[in-house]
Amino acid sequence: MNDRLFSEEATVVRQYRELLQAKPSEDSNDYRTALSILTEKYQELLEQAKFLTRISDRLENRLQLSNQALAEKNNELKQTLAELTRARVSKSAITIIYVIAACLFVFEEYFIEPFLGFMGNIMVYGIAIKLAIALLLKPAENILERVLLKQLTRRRPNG
Amino acid sequence: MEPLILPSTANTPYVHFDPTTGILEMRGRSTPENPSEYYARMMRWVDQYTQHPREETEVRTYFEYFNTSSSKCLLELMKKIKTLRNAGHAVNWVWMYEPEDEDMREAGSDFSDLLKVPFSIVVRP
Repeated sequence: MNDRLFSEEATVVRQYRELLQAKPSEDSNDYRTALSILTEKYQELLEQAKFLTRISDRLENRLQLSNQALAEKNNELKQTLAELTRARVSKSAITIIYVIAACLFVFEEYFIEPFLGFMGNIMVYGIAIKLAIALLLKPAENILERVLLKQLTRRRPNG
Repeated sequence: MEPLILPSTANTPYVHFDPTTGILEMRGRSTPENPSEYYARMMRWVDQYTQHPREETEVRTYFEYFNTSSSKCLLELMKKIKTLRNAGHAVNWVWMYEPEDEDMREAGSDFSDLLKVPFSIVVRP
């Protein structure tokens, strides 16, 4: 804080110090007048101190509220970012799983089913394998999603 | 006498003290690095203005925010302007605030109480 801000008050203090150090006056009215002026100045200063404290308290309160709002917004932003990351990872996981599933179906159709011919009813075994692949899609997607999320978290420790 | 026009910055208010209309306007934010230095120009201008004031002076203030040091400087500035009233000239005090900005409304009320002059405390149109 700049000292010039309270230059008037500092002047009053200096003047009264000088008065105290000066040769004592024989007229008691001089002191009475000086004391009266000082009391008025003190009263003024007291009112100013109350005023500035009120202003300062309000500013502090406002600052605290702003900080709180900022913290809340920051949390919201973090949550949104986490959701966005999760959505992106989920999308990637779905794509990967469906590509793998398509490959498995093709593999099953062209490489496994010809061997199933030796075991009897091709259609039953074929459907059972395809059903197993379809049923495994969702759990595989969840596992892949978790793995990808873990990888991302490891890459961004503060995220 | 020349008007005093200070453009607003990120931490100082817009100031327009017009001696021809008698309107002394301040608006914006006041958080200058060195408030006493910043307000000294306004103090000097008001000192000059009080020598040849208009019959009626209007002090219009609209602050979004001011720091504690600025409030002390504002108080000193307003005290100077108040001397016009003591010399028999009319001074209208208009304190504007943003709707729902209760802090600024109360600050206006505090200034009015401390200066012992009635402020017209209104929501900014």
